[in-house]
Amino acid sequence: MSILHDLLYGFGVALQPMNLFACFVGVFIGTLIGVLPGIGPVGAMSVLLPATFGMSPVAAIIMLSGIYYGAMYGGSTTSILVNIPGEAASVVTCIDGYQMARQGRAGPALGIAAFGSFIAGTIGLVGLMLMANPLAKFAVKFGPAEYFSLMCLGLSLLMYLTHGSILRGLLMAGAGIFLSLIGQDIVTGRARFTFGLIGLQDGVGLVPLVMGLFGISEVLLNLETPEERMVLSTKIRNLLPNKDDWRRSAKPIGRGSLVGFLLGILPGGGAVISSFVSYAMEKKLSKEPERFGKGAIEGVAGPEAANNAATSGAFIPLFSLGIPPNVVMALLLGALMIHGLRPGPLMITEHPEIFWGTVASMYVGNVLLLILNLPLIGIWVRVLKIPYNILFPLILLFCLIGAYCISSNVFDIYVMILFGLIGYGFRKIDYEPAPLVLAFVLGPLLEQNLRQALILSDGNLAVFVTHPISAVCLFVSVFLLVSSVIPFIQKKRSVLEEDS
Amino acid sequence: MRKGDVIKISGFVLLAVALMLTLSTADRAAAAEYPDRAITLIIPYPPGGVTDLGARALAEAMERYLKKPVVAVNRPGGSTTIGGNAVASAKPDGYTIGFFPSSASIPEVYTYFYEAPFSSKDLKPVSKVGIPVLTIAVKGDSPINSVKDLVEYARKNPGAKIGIHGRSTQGYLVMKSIAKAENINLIDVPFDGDTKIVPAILGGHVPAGTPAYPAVISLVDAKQIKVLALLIEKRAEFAPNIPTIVELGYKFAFGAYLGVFAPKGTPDEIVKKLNDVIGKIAREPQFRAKIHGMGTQVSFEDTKAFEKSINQYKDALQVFFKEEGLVINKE
Amino acid sequence: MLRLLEGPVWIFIGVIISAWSYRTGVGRFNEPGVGFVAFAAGLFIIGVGALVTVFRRPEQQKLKAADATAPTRFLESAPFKLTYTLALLLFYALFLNLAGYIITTFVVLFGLFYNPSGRRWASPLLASSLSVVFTYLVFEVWLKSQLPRGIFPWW
Repeated sequence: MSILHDLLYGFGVALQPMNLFACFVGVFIGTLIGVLPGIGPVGAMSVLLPATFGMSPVAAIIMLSGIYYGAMYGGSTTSILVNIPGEAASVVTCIDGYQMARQGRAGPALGIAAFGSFIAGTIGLVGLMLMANPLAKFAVKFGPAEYFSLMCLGLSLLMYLTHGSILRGLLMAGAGIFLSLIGQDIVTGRARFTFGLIGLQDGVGLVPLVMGLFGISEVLLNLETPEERMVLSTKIRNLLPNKDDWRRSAKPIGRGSLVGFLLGILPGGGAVISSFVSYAMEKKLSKEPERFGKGAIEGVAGPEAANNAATSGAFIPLFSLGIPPNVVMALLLGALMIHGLRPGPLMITEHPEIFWGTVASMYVGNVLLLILNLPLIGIWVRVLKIPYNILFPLILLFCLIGAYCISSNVFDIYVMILFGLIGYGFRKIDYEPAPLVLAFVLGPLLEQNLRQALILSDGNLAVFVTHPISAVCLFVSVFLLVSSVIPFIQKKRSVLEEDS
Repeated sequence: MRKGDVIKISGFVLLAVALMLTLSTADRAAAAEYPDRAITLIIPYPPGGVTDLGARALAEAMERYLKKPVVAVNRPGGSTTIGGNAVASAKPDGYTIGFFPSSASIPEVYTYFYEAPFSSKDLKPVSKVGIPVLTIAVKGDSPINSVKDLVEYARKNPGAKIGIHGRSTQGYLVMKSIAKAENINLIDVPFDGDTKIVPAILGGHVPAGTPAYPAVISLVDAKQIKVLALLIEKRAEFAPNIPTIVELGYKFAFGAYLGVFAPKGTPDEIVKKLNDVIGKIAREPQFRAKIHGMGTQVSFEDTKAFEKSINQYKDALQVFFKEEGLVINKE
Repeated sequence: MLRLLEGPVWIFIGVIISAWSYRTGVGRFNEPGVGFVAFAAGLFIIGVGALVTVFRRPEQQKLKAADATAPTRFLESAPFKLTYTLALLLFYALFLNLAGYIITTFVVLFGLFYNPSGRRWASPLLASSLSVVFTYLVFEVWLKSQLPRGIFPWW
């Protein structure tokens, strides 16, 4: 019962007018930057960090975390409406969400994203409350070898990301890995594959890459269809998910929440990876996998739940070990340290008002976000009624601003235009960009951990199978690969036999 | 919408734009003196680390004195040389400055480790702000209790691993010099920052590492991590019980620093103004408390003194690297 | 035709990547170097590219019917629109730092809104001005993003 008591205490803190206001401001800004492509939570939080110096520590962290999970809510909006991910964790939502919008089902897609986010956020919070310490202890068991195998597991999910040719998906993944390695090498600090361009020393930016491959290339494709676009002709049906949508989405939301929460705890792109994992899992488990990529609501519900649950999971290492698992958490850690607080194992007992106040504020924030987002759906859906010759310049403008604002560098705009053109070419010949993005996210983690693991084991490759967690991950990924390749080979064989 | 309306509305909007233009022009004319617009403070690290926090606290304080926004921009990567180059190649007008450690400010010393497209000649030191504090840390329940134990451990286990930030950092320098002094073999495992080193120590994946002090304070309080020594010269006022590596008898290129740098050619009066402001900030008890709370030592030096100590540090480091054999042998 | 070249093109890309990363230094199997993972990625692309070449799907005959509604005027044709839009995007990147956010955005947006066949200027003008004002307020004033000011002294 002590947890209930603590939680009530937390609500006492979170519902103080100043903190409630901070929460509202946070989730409002979060929704806004989530909707605007390019400007992610990191950018907005680092800009607003100094503004929190004058607040109480609780209010500061409540507001900053509101921005973080608020962005996850808003991130799906542009993915669904115009095929531009609002932030990296919403890339997967583009696949089926945008198709739903084209079929006039933008309302249910946005609705299930909002409800899924709400449910997942709440489930994640319960997990954060009940299991923070044991999970944090489990997370540090992941050393380089374990991470490497986990990344292999992530890569084997690629098979489920394509709805066309698996071989093409693999080719895109190979290209994605190569692209992710451009820039400085972690071990030697040496720059590689930069084509002699200083702008590439930092590597290719994820945001310009994603906005080019999805947003710009989509606009370029649409320009070819004279005048009216399909979306306009299809009538927008209901605004909210119906019973059938709910029946299909309930389990994906549950599974997505679990996967998202667990992956969120681990350092390194938890939200992005978890959304991919959830999508792959739903497709694997679905009785009709062929619906995926053609507007399956499960493909929106699962990943959106996953990326929101991941945000709750990400708080665990921060609050229980003082280790930020991603850049956003690092910023929160910074905010707390500037206020003279040190998140760590003793934080929950020494500063209960911070931990419980933040947790309670996140419950409040999730409710606020639901209230904020549901009425917006009506407005967003109307965006699709804007004639395309007015809409497309605005889409391009937001992409341009977004790419520039990542690091105030025009170079990123060039990168985005280039990938827009590449994406356009790929779509023309039926290549899908999602596997490339997943490989691009996993590539650097794969490489770093491989090399660290081998240095630690004095070059003994056996470490990947002697460490139990690592062995399990590798086994599962081999199993997934084999189980997805077998039907493919059988099909090919029959094709060949027919030929001869 | 009728055509007439459209023209009317566009006329109105144009008027608004014109008004905005005029207003901002008036504003600019009134404030011709430096700074008349936002200053960019480049931080060569990703957000959230100690240096980043220190720089952000400094930016916030500078904003109060200069009455213009001082925007902290993170340009991480390349052993801090990407951020360094961003300042070295910026217009020397005082609107792009950097908060740099030695690796970003005297890259020519580190040619053994990496190459940078600029050198300290392209930068103008403004003032020294603080001293970064790294540690040698082990897991809380590790049998290693002192640097001596660590050396013994390495003697028994040749090729013992130490988690470091990269081969040009203090951590690596100390590790190498201890290894040389004690004639033991230590192998470095490069990690991508404290947020990766600390979990690796906690999870027992590396026996020891050199995370920054602030990254482990809370874990030290909770007895999950032990700090064997601080990699600085004199005992820190915020950690009086922890010996420094110099006390323990290891020779070491002292005097690592964090300071503000401007591009070469920045007008003297701008450098002076920045230096004066930073000097005032460094004396503010509030700012000192904030920086010490983050486990970094505040240590102000003005432009002249800072230039001198950079040169000393550079020389000491060059000698050190030569002694340790960490220079490129030209044949 | 394109389908026939698909596999070989990927093999070619894979060879380039592998060669490049090999020169960067692959290290040894138990001590991977700077180019190791990239080299592996290159080999992987070569392998899959070979598979694509071998297991080429029988040419799909049901090619999409050629666009029956081919635009009559060049200004409305797809290639023109594509080149025009890309040129404007490149123009944006080229002039952003020089002319500053407001001017560049205004010009590029006007170009995008402008309909060459309609030849009306009032609505594009209105739309681009509104967009510039609105985005400037949101990004620069409210979110405090640092949009480039350009070199013009009066701005």
